[in-house]
Amino acid sequence: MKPARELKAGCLLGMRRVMIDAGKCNGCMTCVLACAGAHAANDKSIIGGMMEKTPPRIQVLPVKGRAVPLLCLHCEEPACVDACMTGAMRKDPKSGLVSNEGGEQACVGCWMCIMACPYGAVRQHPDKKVALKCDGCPDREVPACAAACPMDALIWGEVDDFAAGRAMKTALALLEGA
Amino acid sequence: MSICRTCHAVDRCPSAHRSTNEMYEYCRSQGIPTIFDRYQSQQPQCGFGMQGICCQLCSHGPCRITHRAERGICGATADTIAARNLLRLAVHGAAAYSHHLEEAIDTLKATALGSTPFRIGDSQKLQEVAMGFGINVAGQSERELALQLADRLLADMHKASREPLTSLSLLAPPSRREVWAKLGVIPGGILSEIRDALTKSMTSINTDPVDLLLTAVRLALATGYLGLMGTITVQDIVLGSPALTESWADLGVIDPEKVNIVAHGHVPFVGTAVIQASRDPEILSWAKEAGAKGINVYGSMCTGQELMQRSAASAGGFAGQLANWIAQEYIIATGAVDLVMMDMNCSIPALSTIAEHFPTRLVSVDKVVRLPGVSEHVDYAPEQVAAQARELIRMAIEAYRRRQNGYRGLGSQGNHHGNGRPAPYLPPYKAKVLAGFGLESISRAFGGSLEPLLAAIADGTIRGVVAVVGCTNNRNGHDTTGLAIMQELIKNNVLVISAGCMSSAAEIESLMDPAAEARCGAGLSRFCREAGIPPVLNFGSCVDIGRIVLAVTRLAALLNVDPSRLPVAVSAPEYLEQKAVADGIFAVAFGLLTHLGPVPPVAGSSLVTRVLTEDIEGLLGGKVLLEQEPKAAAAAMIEHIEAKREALGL
Amino acid sequence: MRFVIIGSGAAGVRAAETLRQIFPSGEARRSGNSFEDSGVQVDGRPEDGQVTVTLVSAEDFPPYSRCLLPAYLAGRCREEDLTIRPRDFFRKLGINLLLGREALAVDPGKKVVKLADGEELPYDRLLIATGAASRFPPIPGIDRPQVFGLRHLADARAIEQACVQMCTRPGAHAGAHAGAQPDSDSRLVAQTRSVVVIGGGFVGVEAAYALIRRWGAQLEVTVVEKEAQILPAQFDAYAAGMLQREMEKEGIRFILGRQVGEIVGQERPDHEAGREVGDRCRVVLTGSGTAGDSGEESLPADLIIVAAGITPNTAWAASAGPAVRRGILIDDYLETSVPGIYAAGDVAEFRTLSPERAGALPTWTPIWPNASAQGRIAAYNMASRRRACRGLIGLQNAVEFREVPAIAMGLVEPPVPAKGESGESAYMVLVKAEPEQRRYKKLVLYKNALVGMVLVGDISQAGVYGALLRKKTDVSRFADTIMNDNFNCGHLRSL
Ligand SMILES: Cc1cc2nc3c(=O)[nH]c(=O)nc-3n(C[C@H](O)[C@H](O)[C@H](O)COP(=O)(O)OP(=O)(O)OC[C@H]3O[C@@H](n4cnc5c(N)ncnc54)[C@H](O)[C@@H]3O)c2cc1C
Ligand code: SF4
Ligand code: SF4
Repeated sequence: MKPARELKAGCLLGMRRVMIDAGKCNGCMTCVLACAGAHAANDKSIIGGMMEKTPPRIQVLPVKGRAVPLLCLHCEEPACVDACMTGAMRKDPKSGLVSNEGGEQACVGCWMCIMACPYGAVRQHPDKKVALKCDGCPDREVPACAAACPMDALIWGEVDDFAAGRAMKTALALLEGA
Repeated sequence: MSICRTCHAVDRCPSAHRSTNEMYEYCRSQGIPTIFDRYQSQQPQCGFGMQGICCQLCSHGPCRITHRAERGICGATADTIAARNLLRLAVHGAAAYSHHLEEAIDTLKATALGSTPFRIGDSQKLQEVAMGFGINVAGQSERELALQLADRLLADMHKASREPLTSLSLLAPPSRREVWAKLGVIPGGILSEIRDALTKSMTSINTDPVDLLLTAVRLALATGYLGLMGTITVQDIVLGSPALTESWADLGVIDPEKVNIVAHGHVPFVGTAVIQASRDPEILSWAKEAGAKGINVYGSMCTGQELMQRSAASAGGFAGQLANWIAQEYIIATGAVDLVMMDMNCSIPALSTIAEHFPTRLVSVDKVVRLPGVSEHVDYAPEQVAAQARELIRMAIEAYRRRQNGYRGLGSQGNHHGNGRPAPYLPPYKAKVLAGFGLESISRAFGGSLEPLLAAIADGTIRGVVAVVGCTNNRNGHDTTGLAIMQELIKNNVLVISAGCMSSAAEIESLMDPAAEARCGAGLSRFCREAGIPPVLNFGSCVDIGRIVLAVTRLAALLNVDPSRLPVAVSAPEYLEQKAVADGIFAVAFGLLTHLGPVPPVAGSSLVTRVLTEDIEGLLGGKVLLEQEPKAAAAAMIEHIEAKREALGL
Repeated sequence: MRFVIIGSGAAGVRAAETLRQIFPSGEARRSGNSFEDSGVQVDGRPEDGQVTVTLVSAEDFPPYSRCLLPAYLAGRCREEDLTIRPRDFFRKLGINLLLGREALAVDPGKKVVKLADGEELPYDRLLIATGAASRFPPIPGIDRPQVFGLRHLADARAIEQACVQMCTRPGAHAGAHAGAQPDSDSRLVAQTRSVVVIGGGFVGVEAAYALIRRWGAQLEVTVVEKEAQILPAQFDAYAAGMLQREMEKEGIRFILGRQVGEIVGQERPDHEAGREVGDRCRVVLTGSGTAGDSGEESLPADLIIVAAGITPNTAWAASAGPAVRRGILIDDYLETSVPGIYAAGDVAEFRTLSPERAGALPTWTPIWPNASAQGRIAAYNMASRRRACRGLIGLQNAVEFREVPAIAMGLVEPPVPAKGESGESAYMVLVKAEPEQRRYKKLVLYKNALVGMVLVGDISQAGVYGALLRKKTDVSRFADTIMNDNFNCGHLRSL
């Protein structure tokens, strides 16, 4: 499979996405705090997220002593959408964002999407029986994580060939089985 | 990662020691998270903090230095922030050492007045040091001398920063004093130095990275000559100087059928008093009444090392060393320990969490030690320590009774008994240790002089000496880096001396057993065999780094060179806390190549990193080596030793 | 171009919506996504390249998820929550949805599908996505009225109604879902009722768990499984044991290693309780059972749920003459042996183990994600965008009982070497069991490739392992970290 080609064939090019430049990540978790804050019910700040104990959707993972940020790539052909047995997980045809929230169908927490996502981008909500993942911050100009990252490890921008290639490096390595 | 390959775990083992790995697996199987689990759940860790370029001093912060924010909100650069943070770490170390020293001085005084169970253990040292401090010793009683010396030391501690430290002028090689005087880093009283360093490192007072680093050097010198050398001197006077003695290490020394007491921390006074009391027939009869076979006092961390090196004298009857910092929870997890006495320094908060699962009673024995969940305190007071020791043993016996009611001994099916507490779980390993090394005991071992050692160094049988000292750290696996370096050094005929938690590591892996001679290069092996000593010499606890400094000072004096010219290096391969930061800076100031691992939080400042690893050598003769791969680090130290040999024409 | 899809399950719906993504709003526009561009052969019909997408279902209910039927039985969701697409989804997308219309036959010559009401649906491309039906083993008495399968909403409704009648007063709220709380004042409910589930596979266990959660106070639920463990097709014995213990804590009883030989009517109807379901019967057991088996010969049963596997719904399409093994045989492009007719989902079976699917992966994998993916990829191929379907995993399942989630994939138990066979097995099994924390992790490797896994408790990296499994990645490079709790997708790339 050659996802890079598919990317071109798909409609991702020209869309705005958070791209990960993992080599720059410093492991400070500001993105994690910012994400939690952005999803707080009332005070949508880092403090608000901490007070409300909102769970973050982006993860910063440990990889042999280094930190690697991971958030949903909003795949062109999302495995999670195929796997979702309630229809809650869907890809918005216009924005291309993949989310299990806000639609008519409710997530029941069957964890089929967790089983399907090759990146481990979906997790169990710590308190509720629903799957939790990046919703792409549809109501924000710039997703909270990318806006907060002090290292430019998370870049919000238009997906051009180069950026798509870079952002999808993980994807490629994974799907190619490299 | 680990040198232990005894189990079938697919994960890499977290520790270099079989016993620790087994205890970790055991705790996991019991559903009890311990240090290695917490380490994992902290991953990944923040790079700003690790590089020392996160400043949290004022309420504008935290400020982090990035390529798009090269200055904090106040204008501080990465260099300022890193240097200031480093100084703040060193201040903590200096303060804790001072506390230890003050307790030792108080004990000296009380002992002189006859109100402690201790007797002056080394009156020769008392005389020598008193003379050094300008006390007229002629015709003075021991008691008088001790009281006067105590006052002089207290006065030295409390001097103003502009009054030069007497201990330093007394103990430091003249060539060093010259270097320090030139740089203006001869310190005054340590308490004043601490005040100055804290003042400077407040936000917006001293923001010059170079001056901050020099302040750290000054502070470290005060720490070295008072906190380290002052403390060990007083301890030797009160408890006796170390003498060669055999002992045991590792969890396998625990005898579950005895009342088991662990002395944990750094300050040996309570531990010594308890050992002495435990030999009292009356107290022993209490234990027998409770059904115990006897009373054992074990050591953990540096208190254990202190007791071990004096187990031929004041700490006779010491039952063995159990573990170092990383493994402290597992001592409790054996389920066979009745009471842990926590003195100053290094009792992790997780001790009280793990103690919830086991019958062990935790008691703090120093007024500065407090842990959430620990409500029993027997705070050390020199005048009361005899009674305190009896009280502690009584508490331990009480705990022993409870432990006996909790389970019915080993070996029955399943691990849980009675009230649901697990039966003891004891990894069956123990290692023989030759302990009690120091200037005096080494010369005694060589028939009264250091000459044979000097000769061996001169003729190349021994290439040089490296002090592998300090803490233990989990970043590269518990004790793994330290042991790898030690083994590499002795293979290359470098004599290793060790103190602190690293010493525990070497003990458990039998490097302090004379039989370890077989693991050395030919020259060192022969030398050890002939002298009947192991290739890694146990110099005791981390404060005994002072003892190492005194030995190197003597070596330099005998060869009539500055210490920086000796074929000697220092490695703190797994440094952990702030006392070690002060020690590390001291070693560099003393003129020695100082290997440090893990990389201290300065890497975010190129200036601080450059000063410490390069520029400082021109000023002080020593520098920091940051090579993290153990073999390469050992190689770099050996290369340094060879270069020094060549320069000396050896 | 007329696309007709029979069956509105996971495969059918996904195919229909994908076709409408390729050919938006029913019209072939001269835009980027036009169907001329896609190179679809038009056969001259219909004119102007008009595209229609018709989705037909025998069931008279908007497309729904049968995976949610256990949740429905547990009273955790209502009927309207079962649907898998928004209310006006199909209309908006321009999909003709024909509900309650059963297809009876296909005439591949005339290219029409014959519906039960006599209508003939012409097609250019046909997708068979008729799924499967519960398999009723040939046991005497299996046709008794107390016996139900669990596949369709109709089944679930019937089971639910039976439970309501068994557990509440006659007529009290019967059928009024969720709100139908048993009336505790009634002396008429004093008697406990017995449910026997035949089959301890995924559906059987889910059904048992659902009933016990909703009716636990009134119902005794027993699962009879012929293998020595529950979930034999998905989990290894250890994980199955863990899950079984969790369910036993809820009060479900398991009888393992025994089969149901017969179902006999025995007890009188309970007229007082106004039962309408029928007589109480007895389930006769054969076999000796696993250790600790109570040895009873038969069980009373007021309700029996058969969950003994499924049979693909292939019969109706036989008239088209496609090759059939267990399911309708398809190639890697999901086309049947009859040109222009495709199949996807539970009804379909791959003809061969292509190199991509070789190894531990079977040709038939009747689970939701596979049905969806096949439906989607079938749509591409029907639209002449040739795309092979690969990398489907053998049986995989996510379950959660009592907040202990569990996921299994692929080969969870390496084959036992034949007697007399010696030497090192090419399989390697890595296990970490922490029963106290209700955590378990097992990876099965075959020649350095992951071929199976079981995760209980911590399932967060299931998808990453799944990707390794699908891709047959050589995992020796991260052999030292693959079992770590912290293993994650970041370990797979070289930074
Ligand atoms: C209770 C239960 C729980 C499950 N839980 C899970 C789970 O958690 N995870 C998982 O992966 N899988 C689960 N499955 C399996 C999963 O539901 C199926 O794999 C999936 O539904 C297959 O989809 P499909 O589109 O191939 O067929 P189906 O969903 O079976 O859809 C076929 C449709 O075609 C219709 N049809 C059949 N014949 C005709 C005809 N002649 N004319 C017109 N229409 C016809 C049927 O009425 C049906 O609507 C579960 C199944 C059941 C029964
Ligand atoms: S959750 Fe995973 S599979 Fe779904 S869109 Fe995001 S990255 Fe892709
Ligand atoms: S904020 Fe940026 S640098 Fe910090 S953890 Fe997140 S991605 Fe990494």
